[in-house]
Amino acid sequence: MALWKPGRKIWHDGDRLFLFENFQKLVQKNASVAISYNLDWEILHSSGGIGDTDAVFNVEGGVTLGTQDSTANDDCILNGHLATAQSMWDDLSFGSDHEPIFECLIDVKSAITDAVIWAGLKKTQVPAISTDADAAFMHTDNDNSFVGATVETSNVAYTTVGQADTPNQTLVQAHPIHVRCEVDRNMAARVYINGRLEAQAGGMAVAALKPYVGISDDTGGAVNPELNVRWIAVSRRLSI
Amino acid sequence: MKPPESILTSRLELEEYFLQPPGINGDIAVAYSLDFEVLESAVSAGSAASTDCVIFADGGITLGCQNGDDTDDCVLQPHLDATQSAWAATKWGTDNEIEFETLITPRTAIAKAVLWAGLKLTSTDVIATDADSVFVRVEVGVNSGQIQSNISVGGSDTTVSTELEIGLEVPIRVQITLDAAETARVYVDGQLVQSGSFAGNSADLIPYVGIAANSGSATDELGVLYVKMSRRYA
Repeated sequence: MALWKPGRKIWHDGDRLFLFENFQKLVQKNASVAISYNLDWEILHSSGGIGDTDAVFNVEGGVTLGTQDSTANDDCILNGHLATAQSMWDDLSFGSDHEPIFECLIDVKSAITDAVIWAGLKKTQVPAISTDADAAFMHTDNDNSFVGATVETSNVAYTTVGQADTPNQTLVQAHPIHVRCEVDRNMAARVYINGRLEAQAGGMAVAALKPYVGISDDTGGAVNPELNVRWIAVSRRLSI
Repeated sequence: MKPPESILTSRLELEEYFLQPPGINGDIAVAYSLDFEVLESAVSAGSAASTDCVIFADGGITLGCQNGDDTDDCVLQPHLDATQSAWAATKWGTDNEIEFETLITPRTAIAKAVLWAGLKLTSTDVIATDADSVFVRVEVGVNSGQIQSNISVGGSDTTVSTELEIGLEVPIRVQITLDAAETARVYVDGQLVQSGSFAGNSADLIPYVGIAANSGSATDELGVLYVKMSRRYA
């Protein structure tokens, strides 16, 4: 049985709430919110600039995030819309004590070697591994063509696999990457990539996590990295 | 450890149940569907108005021919504004393993209208117009009023009779699938009625549902309960 039901934006199933986004509407920056655009998501940056043209429909489905400034660390991040009372995607708490599950399907459109990519549950939107005390997400490291995963908890500094010495899965341009990040009732976090457990650690603190997907231009090279995001889904236990 | 049960999906799936009625292109607003619009096809002598499409109390929408002109029609299609909707922005290629499904029903005792639903290049119901298409079509008073299925590949049209007839308020479920080999299959009410190959002749198609008065009747109406599209991601 599928966990998610494609085509449905939100539904309840027993004690869990599900949100699903396949980008039927185009994502724009915060100030551009309008009925013709996505009302649940926005794009923003932690470095560089952001413009509405940084996200475009992908004709094969989903949206393409771009880094268009050709400057090092210029990024483009999908974030639940931050306007007050705009969307559950940001207003809802996906706390680590709510047994949250995050999933997405992404693929790299171009410039793998110059891209930093991350997707999962974090406290902040930035790609840096060490910024958040608690997080569970996948990431690619700059200049390395492999997929890594990170779980950070307050008790375990962080567990990272897929680094250069242990490349578990190779990142290939245009190949789909299915990411699943979850925190169970015992506060143990796990990250799966294409169905394979890549990182896990127990002892996560109670933390308000958010779903993020982002891409950053590592060196500001001539080719601006682009990331296709086909869909994002999150769920959590309803009861607190 | 066993991988967790997961979704899906390597497919994009869009569904439209018409919680808001589609209006004409220029009427886009919160009161209307933001994914679909209604228009008149190129062969229509009428003019489209948002009142041609209304919410139906028993579900879905009703498309109407309201001008009383022989060629007046009303066609439902993804909204044409740039960057408005993934329904129009997504490529529905015959090489993308696409699926189309709709549930339609005649709302009035249609005397002479033409109904059509499926995947085409343009909005018109005329079989010969599109070089590539796969859709069903029924013209009351022609072919004994039986539903026809048509597959056009590279300008070569193959039309078959399904031997199925329409009835007032009797839903017709139309499903069209194209597999990895670009073989199209058309199902009406679950019955496979036609198949044909687009291999070597890939085309990007558009979902359409329409009604043309064809008789000057201003009362011909077609109910559309839902429209669904699906395709494999890249």
